[in-house]
Amino acid sequence: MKEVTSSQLGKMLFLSIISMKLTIIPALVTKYCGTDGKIGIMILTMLDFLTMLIYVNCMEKYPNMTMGEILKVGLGKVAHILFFTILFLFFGIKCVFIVKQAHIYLVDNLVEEMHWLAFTIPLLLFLFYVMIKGRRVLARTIEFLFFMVLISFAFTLLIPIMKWKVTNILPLMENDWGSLLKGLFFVNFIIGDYFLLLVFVGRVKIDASLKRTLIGYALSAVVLVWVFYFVFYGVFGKIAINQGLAISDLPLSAVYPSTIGRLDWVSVICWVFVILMIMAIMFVLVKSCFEEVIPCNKYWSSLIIVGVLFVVMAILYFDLEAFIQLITSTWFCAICLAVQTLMPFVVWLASVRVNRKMMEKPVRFQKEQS
Amino acid sequence: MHQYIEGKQVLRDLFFLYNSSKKTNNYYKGKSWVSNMNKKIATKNAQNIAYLKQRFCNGDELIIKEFFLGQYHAFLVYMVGLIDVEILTDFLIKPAQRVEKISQPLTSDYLIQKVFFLPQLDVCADWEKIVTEITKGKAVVFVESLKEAMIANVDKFKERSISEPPTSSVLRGPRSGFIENYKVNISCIRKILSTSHLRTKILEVGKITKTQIAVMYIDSIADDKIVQDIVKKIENINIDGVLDSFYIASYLEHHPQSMFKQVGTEEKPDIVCAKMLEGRIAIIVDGSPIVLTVPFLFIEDLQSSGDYYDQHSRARFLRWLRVASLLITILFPGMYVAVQMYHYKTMPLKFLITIMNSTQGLPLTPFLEIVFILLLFEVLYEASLRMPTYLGLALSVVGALILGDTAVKAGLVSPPAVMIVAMSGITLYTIPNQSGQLSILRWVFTFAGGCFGFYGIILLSFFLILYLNDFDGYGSPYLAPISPNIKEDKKDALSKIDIVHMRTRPKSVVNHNPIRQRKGGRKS
Repeated sequence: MKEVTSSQLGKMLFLSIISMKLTIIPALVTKYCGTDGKIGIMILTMLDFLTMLIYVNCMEKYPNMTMGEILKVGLGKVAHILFFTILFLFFGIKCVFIVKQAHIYLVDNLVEEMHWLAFTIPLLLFLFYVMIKGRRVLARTIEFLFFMVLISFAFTLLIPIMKWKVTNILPLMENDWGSLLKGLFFVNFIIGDYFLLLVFVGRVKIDASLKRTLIGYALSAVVLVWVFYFVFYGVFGKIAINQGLAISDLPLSAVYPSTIGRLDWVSVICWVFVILMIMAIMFVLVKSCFEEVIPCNKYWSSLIIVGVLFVVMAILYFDLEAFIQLITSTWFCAICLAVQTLMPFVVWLASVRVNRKMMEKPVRFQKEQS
Repeated sequence: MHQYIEGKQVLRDLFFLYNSSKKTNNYYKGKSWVSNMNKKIATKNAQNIAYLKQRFCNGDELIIKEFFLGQYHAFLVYMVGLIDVEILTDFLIKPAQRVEKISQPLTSDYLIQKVFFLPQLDVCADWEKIVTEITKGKAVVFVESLKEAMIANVDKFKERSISEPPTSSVLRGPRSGFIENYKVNISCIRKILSTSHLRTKILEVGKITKTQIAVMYIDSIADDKIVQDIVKKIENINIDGVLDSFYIASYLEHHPQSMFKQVGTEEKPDIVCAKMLEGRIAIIVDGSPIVLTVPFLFIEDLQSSGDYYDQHSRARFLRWLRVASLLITILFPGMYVAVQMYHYKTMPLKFLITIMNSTQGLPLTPFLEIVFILLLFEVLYEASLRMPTYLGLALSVVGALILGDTAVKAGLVSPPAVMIVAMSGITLYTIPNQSGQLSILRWVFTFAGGCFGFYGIILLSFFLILYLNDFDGYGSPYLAPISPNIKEDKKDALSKIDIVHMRTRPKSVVNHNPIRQRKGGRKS
């Protein structure tokens, strides 16, 4: 069933690309790459962008096959389960990270005192509903609310523009390439956003403009991320490392010390919408991967995911530092890097083998498909 | 001998009555009349009269008038008050009395062609249909020795004339509205849509009311599958009575548990015709001045018929005004509570000081304050609807001036809270067709704002959009053309462009004739 249009997928891809890079990560990138983080993010996003072409090609080549079917036919059932288990864990960890960031963001900006249960319970109910409704409804909703993303960016980038100094971003490269690449190794978890496309293979209405639309949205997101980093470094300079949440710190830096009637509230409210959209996308992806690994009723899969998240949130509420240490530990970063390198290769291999099978036994293949 | 024959006849009649009463009692056991009763009429008038009297329980409304048609005994049956007596006398009774002798074999065709001169005179031999027609205001003529009866369409009801509907008044444009007679409503539509492609399917629903329902569509535009789907849904309705079109609307909805409207309701022929020209299907229910249209999109209620009879720039402005009103209606009370309770920093300083001054010393929390005023508003609204007009006016004065003013003076509520609810109440009626749903939403958002602040309001807004995006009745996404984004349809959505540029029919509504007008219409 064709659930989403190319434009809707493009918007989801856009949100997925900006998801982790704009919230807590600018500070994390600065921690490992120093002021060269802006160059680092350019390298990471461009490398990530290249993998997109493999996925889009696969999407166009097999318009009526899902990624699960391609993997089953191309590489077998074991590879299929392994592939989606890795994706499930990848998106799962991102989900936890984003939910925790959302909590921090709300407490920092919107509600001064908020018990984690008051935050978590309505959110989980909401996410449960999102997961039950699935990809098509989510895609439409994101299309409806996409203007919020534009308002958020506009406010976040325009409010602090007066504080931006070109001297803060110079020199472009302060340290050597070796230390930059070493730094990037520790933050490679923030890329891999194009995996989203894998869940939508075979579920998109293929039209002539699919590739153009997806590339357009992806490029816009990448360019906005670059602009965001340049503004971030241009405003904070050397003290960028001390910043927590860039999306709130940027506009706040411009309006501080006034605390009453601040203009950045519009940006805060819009960002909450954007964070919720990102969370919704991530959770639908997690649910889709979970159902590929363990085929079950959508209510059960959603309930299990929500239940697990509740437990993780309870743990995280008391120990966020441990989680950040986990995702920046050497072994975790090594696994992430391996997964991000191998995934495009696996998709390409499965695609080639399916193609060969189609060429060898087209009739039998078609029967199997039907 | 004569007495013996008459006695035998009486016995036969009694036996017939006993049989039919036994059969008709089955109706009350849940079985239909049709399957259990003697379907054909008798050739003896006495039997027919006896049956009719029994069927109508000797009701005083049933008039049976016996007369002679030449040498044949005949009788006329109708319900008092439902027929046009003048037509009946001039075209049925008088011509019958003028006949002296019928020399050739008697047939219903002969009577229709040579004796009676009514344009609508049908022949029927089915008791069930005859009984239904009598209840619907037809007169039925039975003639001895004929195995069928003649149904004369002489119905006449006291009906209100066509007038401008109270909820859809416009400054410019057609003012006629639908009335309770479905035939008049059909003719209103047919008068506008003068095309042979206009199709009407008449269905009957309601075991007791036998309500006529007309499904109207333009054959060359509307999608056949949707028409078939609607007809099937209406045919499957098995209810005792249909009193208004809302009864049917409930059966056409894909999410019947939802509070959101999923079937269009219109009171004016020009709007219904405009919708039919876009590929929608109209459903007219006898007895209701509200015509249903499907598929229905949320955006339809933000559009007014006046938009199409005015400058498009003005229409565009008004539509945005309605959108703003919609947001004010549902969000303002909740946001006020959220700002007061959790996010007072969002307010500009001068506003904050003003509000703090006016809310000082109030016994109620901002949340309870708004709940109290909202409740007051809802009660006043409900009471003013039910009261007679002259009392309603007094009530609104009492409610608005005395209660509101006194509550503020007594220090129970603050003037900003009254103003917020009043604003929300006024804006509610810029979209009158959605006022019910919006009123409930306002409450829900107030609770969300009171419990979780902006976080609750944002989460609820997101949930609401997700929920509405799931509605996909008859292939039309509920929030189209915004989500999914349909660029061509946005010409007549939140914004409105000149009619000259609206060359295609909306894609949001499934239809098989996309072109509305060719290029070059403005050339002289």
